Order: sequence, then C-alpha cells, then structure tokens
Amino acid sequence: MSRSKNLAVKYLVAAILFFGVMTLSGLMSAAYYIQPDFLFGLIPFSIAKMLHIDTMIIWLLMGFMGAVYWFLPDEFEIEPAGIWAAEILFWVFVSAVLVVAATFVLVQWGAGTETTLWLVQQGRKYVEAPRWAAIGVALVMLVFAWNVVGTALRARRFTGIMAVMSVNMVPLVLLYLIAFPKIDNMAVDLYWWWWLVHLWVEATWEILIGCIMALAVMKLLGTSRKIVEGWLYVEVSMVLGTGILGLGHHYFWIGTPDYWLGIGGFFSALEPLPLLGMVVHAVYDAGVHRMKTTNRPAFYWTLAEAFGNFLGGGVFGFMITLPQLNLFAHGTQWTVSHGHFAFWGAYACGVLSVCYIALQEQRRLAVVNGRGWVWAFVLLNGGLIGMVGSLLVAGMAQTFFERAIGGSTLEAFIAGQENPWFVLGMYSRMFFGLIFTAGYLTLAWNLLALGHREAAAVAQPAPAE
Amino acid sequence: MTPGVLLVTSVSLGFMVLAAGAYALLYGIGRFRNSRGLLVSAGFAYGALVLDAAGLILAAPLALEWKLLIAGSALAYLGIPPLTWRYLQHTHREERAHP
Repeated sequence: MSRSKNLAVKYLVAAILFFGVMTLSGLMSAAYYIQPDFLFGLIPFSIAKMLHIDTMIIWLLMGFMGAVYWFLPDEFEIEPAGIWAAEILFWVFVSAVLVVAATFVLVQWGAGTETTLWLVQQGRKYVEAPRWAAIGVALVMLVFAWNVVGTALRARRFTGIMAVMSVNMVPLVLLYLIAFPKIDNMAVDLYWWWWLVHLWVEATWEILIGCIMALAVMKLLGTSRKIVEGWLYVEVSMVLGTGILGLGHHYFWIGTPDYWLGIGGFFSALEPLPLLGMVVHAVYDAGVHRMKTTNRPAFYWTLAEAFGNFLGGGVFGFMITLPQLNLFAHGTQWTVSHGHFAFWGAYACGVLSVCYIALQEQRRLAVVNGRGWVWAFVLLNGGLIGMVGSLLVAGMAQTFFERAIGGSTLEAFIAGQENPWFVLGMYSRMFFGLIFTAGYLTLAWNLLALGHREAAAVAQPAPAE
Repeated sequence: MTPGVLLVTSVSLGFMVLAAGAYALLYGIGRFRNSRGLLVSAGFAYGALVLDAAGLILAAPLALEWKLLIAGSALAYLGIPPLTWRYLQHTHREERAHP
C-alpha cells in the first residue's frame, strides 16, 4: 500500500477510537439528566458535554482526512505532495487531542486570563480547545490543503472532484481561524462564531463529504466519473445556494438586525430541496446496481447517509426553522434531536462507508459481507433513531410547557425539567444510548475482525497480485 | 399562536418534508420497477403533502410570506423527483452513448 493509504488507515483507526470517546462521553452526558449528581465533584456535566461535542468534530474531521488520503493516490496515481509532513502531523494531531482531552478532564477551567485561553480552554462551544491546540489544528488543516492542492499541481491533473475539493480547502482553512479572536461583545462574538460552526458544517463539510462520497460511489459501484461529477456540481450549487444564507437561522436571537429572520427562515426552508434530490439519486443508484455490490456494508452506509441526511437535516430541521416556531424551540432538546440526526446522517454514515471501502482493499477481500456489520448497522441506526425520537419528545415538552406556557422563567424551566414527558424522554434517550453503544462496540469488533476472525464474512479471498 | 397550535404547526411542517421524502422514494422505486401501483402510491404521498401544506396555509397563524414559501416549497417538491430522475437518466444514457 502507498504511504498515503497507510496514513489514511491510521486516520480512520483514530477516527473510530475517538468515535468511541464521543459515544462514552455522550452516555455520561445523558446520565446527568437522570442522576444530576452523577460524578459529583469529579467531572461536571459541562466537561462531559464538551468532550462529547469536541470529539464528534475531531472524529469526523479525522474520518474525512482518512478518506481523502485514501482516495488521493487513486485519483492522481502519485503519492501526495508533502506526505512526510502529513505523517508527522498525524501524531501531533492525535497527541494534541489526547492532551486537550486530559486537560478538559483534569484541569477543567481556569481564571478569565490569557493563560487560560492559551493553556486550558477558550470557552467557545465546539472550539473549546486551548489556543496552542487550535494553532495545531490550523497547521494540520493547512498541510491537509497542501496535500490536496499540491498533489493536483504536481500531477498536472485537475479532475472535477479534486477541483471542487481544492477550492473548498480555502474556506475550510480560513473559517477555522475564527476560533482564535477574543471578542468581548457576545453578540459580535456569536455572529462570527456561527461563521465557523455553520459554514464549516453546512457548507465546507457538506462539499467535502460530497466529494468523498463521489469518490466512494465511483469505487463502490463503478459509476463513471462523468456522471458522478455532473451530480456533484448540481449538489454543490444547491447546497451552497441554500446553505450559506441558511446561516441566518442561527442569527434569529443573538442580537443581530431583524432582517435575518426573513433571510434565515427563507433559505433554511429551501435546505431540504437538495436533500430530496439525494434521496432520488440514492434510489437510482441502488436500482441501477440492483442492490448488488461486493461491499454491502459500505453500500448500506452510503444509502444511510442519503436517507439520514434527508430525515435529520430536512425533516427534523424544517420543523423548527421558521422564526415564529424557532423562538420557542431553539436551545431545547428539540434542537439537540435535530443536531444528532443531521450530523449522523450527513457525515458519520459517510465516514463509516469509507472505513469499509478502505478495509476491503487493505485486507484484499473480494467480498465484504457477513452478520457483524448488519448487527452494527441495525444497533447504531436503531439506537440513533431511538435517541433522536426521545429527544424530540423531551424537546416538545420543553417547548410546550417551559417556553410556550411558562414563558421561559426560571420556575418554568424547573417545571419543564420535572415534566413527566421530559423525564420519560431522558430515560428513553439513555436506553437507546446504550443500544447505540452496543452498536459502536459491534462496529469496532467487526472492523477489527472482518477478514481475520470473522472468516465467514468473506466469500472468497481476492487473487494475489 | 397558542402552545397547542405551535406544536401542531411544527409537526405539520415536518410531516410536509417527510411526505416529500415518501413521494420521492416511491416515485423512484416505482419508475425503476415500472410499477403503476408504486407510482400511484407516490401520488398519494404527494397528495398528503398538498393537504398538509393546504392546512398550514389556511389555518396556521403564520405571516403571508411564510405561507407563500410553504406553497412554493410544495410545488418544488412536486418537480424535484421527476427532474432529478430525468437528469440521471440523461447522464447515464450519454455515458452509454459516449463512454
């Protein structure tokens, strides 16, 4: 295997390990809602939640990078430019994440000084990592961009997919720089912070996963480059057309001018449209290939990506996106429900699909199938759907009792937290969280054992080269 | 907007997109299998979407511009599956003709 593919495997393994940390810290966060004094005096809820959210970003980012490093040599038939730097930075990246996680757990917080910002945490949701680590992440992103663009330049070959990916590297790197400035005015700070969070997630990440899935579909189903690239251009224009100004739905209640109510509501309402096109495309691809493939898990995770993105982003998002409704629903478990489903569908399923594609080639398996992945697929998706359903019920109870009836007072908040529907939702979320965890463990075992211990999964070995 | 209407409106909006998904899914499978039954079911799914959108436009306490947006979305949902299908068929046909 090439150096790039070896690096890709390392990134994908790290991604799956941090997926585990995310799952564990998610379970911990869920436990505080049932037992508020859980780990009292040791790890507060805010730290568990921080670990949960930050490792979600990290594992997906590592998954994307692993996927890109996997496909780069196939795309250009040469090793990526500056692969040596990427290899060194992989270890720097992983070490930095571990040190930051240990700092979060052991130090937790500090005084409101520059030292805390540099060494403990920056205190901004999703990008809490202290500055030294944030600089490291920026450096990793910069080298990643160099790997992609530099390789295309060195190969003197720009395919449509790689051109889109290369252009996307510019906002991917630049937007992360918003993680650094310390802005005292909270409205101004949130205004720019959403550029990072929303435009990373609903613009640059969408394009990156679009490119990755385009490469995955070519590999998995043998779909021609022309078809895949044609669809990628349509998808990218639609996603950018609706997603960039869809940013406005985060500006409803942070002190920005009220024209954002109209802009945010309008463009957010259009966001399900490209997702519907993806559903049709998924059906078409599945039909053309009659659900036949040599890598069933990768194929099913690809389908799950299209449907999960539609349901999580489209259906769950549209319920709370109009300003009149968002006024009551924002910041409740309803939003959490949408966030969980959308991230899972849009990104996690895609990364898992690439894991199986890489695994098939790395272990030289002619066919990837078996029972292990089916169990993982069912438990993970079943657990996730159960969790988002539970959070939806809890969020509706909060919206109804705390916000709409109670008027968002402190008493209403407490009453909302004690409401039987909310409590039921929290218990139910914990139960499905445990199912999801079982799914994660099954997935990890399956990825580890497929082709080794789970021999029945492999119909026949690939002929030696 | 009363608390009850707030929940009903939200759920109706979610149902509208869900019905659009059901329409797209049934339309796609129906076209592939050349199944009249599935295409009729797709029509029913879209019918449910239209009824839901009509309910929102007539009864939900939303401003006129949002109601227009709902009406426009309902129309767009009608067109997306056949347009996407035709586009995919066209690109695949082109690919076969000029590989």
